[in-house]
Amino acid sequence: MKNLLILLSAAALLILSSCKDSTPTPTPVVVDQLKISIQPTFGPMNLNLDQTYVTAEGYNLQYTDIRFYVTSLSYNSKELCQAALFDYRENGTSFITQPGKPADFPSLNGFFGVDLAYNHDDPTVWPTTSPLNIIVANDMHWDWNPGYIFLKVEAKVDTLNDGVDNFNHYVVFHVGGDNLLQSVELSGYNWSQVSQGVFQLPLKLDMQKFLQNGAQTIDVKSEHSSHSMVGEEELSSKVIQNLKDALSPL
Amino acid sequence: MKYLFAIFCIVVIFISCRKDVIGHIPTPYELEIPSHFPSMVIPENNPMTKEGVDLGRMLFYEERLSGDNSMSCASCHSPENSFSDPNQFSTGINGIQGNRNSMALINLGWQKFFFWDGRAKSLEDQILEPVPNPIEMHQEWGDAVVKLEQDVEYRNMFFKAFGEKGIDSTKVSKAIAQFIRTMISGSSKFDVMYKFENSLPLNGNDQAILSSISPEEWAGYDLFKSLTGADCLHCHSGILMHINKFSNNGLDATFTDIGRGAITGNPNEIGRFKIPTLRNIALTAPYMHDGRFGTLDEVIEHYSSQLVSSPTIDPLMEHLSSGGVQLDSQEKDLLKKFLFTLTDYDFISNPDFQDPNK
Repeated sequence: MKNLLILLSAAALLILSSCKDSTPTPTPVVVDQLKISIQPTFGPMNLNLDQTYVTAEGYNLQYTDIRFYVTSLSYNSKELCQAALFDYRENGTSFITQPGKPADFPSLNGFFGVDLAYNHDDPTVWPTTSPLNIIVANDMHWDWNPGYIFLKVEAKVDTLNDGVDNFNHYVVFHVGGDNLLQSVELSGYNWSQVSQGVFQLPLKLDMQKFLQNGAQTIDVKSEHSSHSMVGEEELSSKVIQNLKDALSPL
Repeated sequence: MKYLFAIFCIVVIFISCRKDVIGHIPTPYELEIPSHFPSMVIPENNPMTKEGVDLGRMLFYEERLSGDNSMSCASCHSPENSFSDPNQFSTGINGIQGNRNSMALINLGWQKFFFWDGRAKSLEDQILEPVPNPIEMHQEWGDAVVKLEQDVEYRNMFFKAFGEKGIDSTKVSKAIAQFIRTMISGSSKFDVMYKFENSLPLNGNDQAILSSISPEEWAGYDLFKSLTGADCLHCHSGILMHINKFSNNGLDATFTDIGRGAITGNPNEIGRFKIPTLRNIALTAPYMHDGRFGTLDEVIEHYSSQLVSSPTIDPLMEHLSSGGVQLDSQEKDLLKKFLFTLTDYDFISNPDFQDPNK
């Protein structure tokens, strides 16, 4: 009887252990993350949409939309990000979050705008998380040709310096087209560790410099609209160059 | 003793290996997405299943969801009107009318917010609102669920759709959402025009449709897209014919209905409303959030010459200073011809979208 009990116990142990879920708990793989943020400013001040700033010409101006694409961002042949869309109203200062190691990206090169390699692709075939997917791109896509809108800057301006708020002058810059694609280079920065395995590169986008870029100024009273159409080449080019130049390490 | 050992083994095996719940496993549903459309993101907590879609279709036409068993979702979203309401305002079971026009239910699986003011961030959330709304179906969800639970067919359908017993409002909204996600419109003349202009493959039926597209319809399309023409493209672009955005499109100088502004509390969003799709636009009159325009001619005239300024007007209304895009009568006619190409007759007559009890 004693032997039988031992036998039964051993059998029960064997059966129970054979039926239980034996999947081993995987050891989590820690992957470093690189985050790039962009803080829009107006000169030394952090910029908020719908808030009033004064231009060099003395106009009261409220930015209402700031969006742009950066694509093929890489160091040498190592790509950090295929495409990123900065959308201040929707996503705040958040720009890029990708797996990677800081040492692999001591500087970054890419395009301000959408790389020719993608600009005329079918916008429906990108993964649903890609900024180039038509649902994510939303109104940042005109058509297969000319392709994506590289940048949107919209603002309301009160051009009358009469002490009465009347923001009835609209600024609409929608710039794109292969010939306006700009190379962009970011260097002279340091990734800073913000938490375990997370490294951040904070950038700033100076929207005062966007209007006053050295000799290349934009007077929003007379230069207030561009859709990159024929006849708008000069302003379109100035807009995208100025916005690119407004971007720098914080 | 042999028997004791055998019984012991059986008991041990039963205890160690049995599952806690034996349920029904629903059948995955494969959405038929047109080849020229993007993928649809399905919520992880509401996967598409055949049983869920069938149930959702039943519930969409279920009048017991209303307080007096007289109204269903289809009452304000009728198939012949591309699942919209031909009345300016829909009338609820107590004879009360709202102040907004019922939106057409087309390709909602790609939209990011719902209602004219975007207050619902998912289809499932949107569906929860009309049943208890006093000016719509006016019935507490608890009462609606009790009615459904009294029906053995529904009890079985819910069990098959969700793999467990029980009915509640969440399951009702999930099932209807699944059904609505199947309501995909991508078979209009415009779809063929879109595919043709972007060199996408055309099948035999597409080729036949292509040959029937008139020069006036193509000219209307050009006008539609032209920034110096009708300038519709800013808000109605791409294959879905809309963008996910709220806009004040110059209807009023002051607002009795402040739209998006009432949801966000942001004064800059006063008078802004969701931009709707233009698909099946010829079938979804009246137009605008308050159904103020009864015809497409009135809509075209609004954008052509009747824009009204207000502090929150969309900056994309770039022809505001001249009242609009200033189309002449020939251009208006061409534009209307193009808008008719957006009608998808296959969509409104699709048997899978009709009342299953008829």
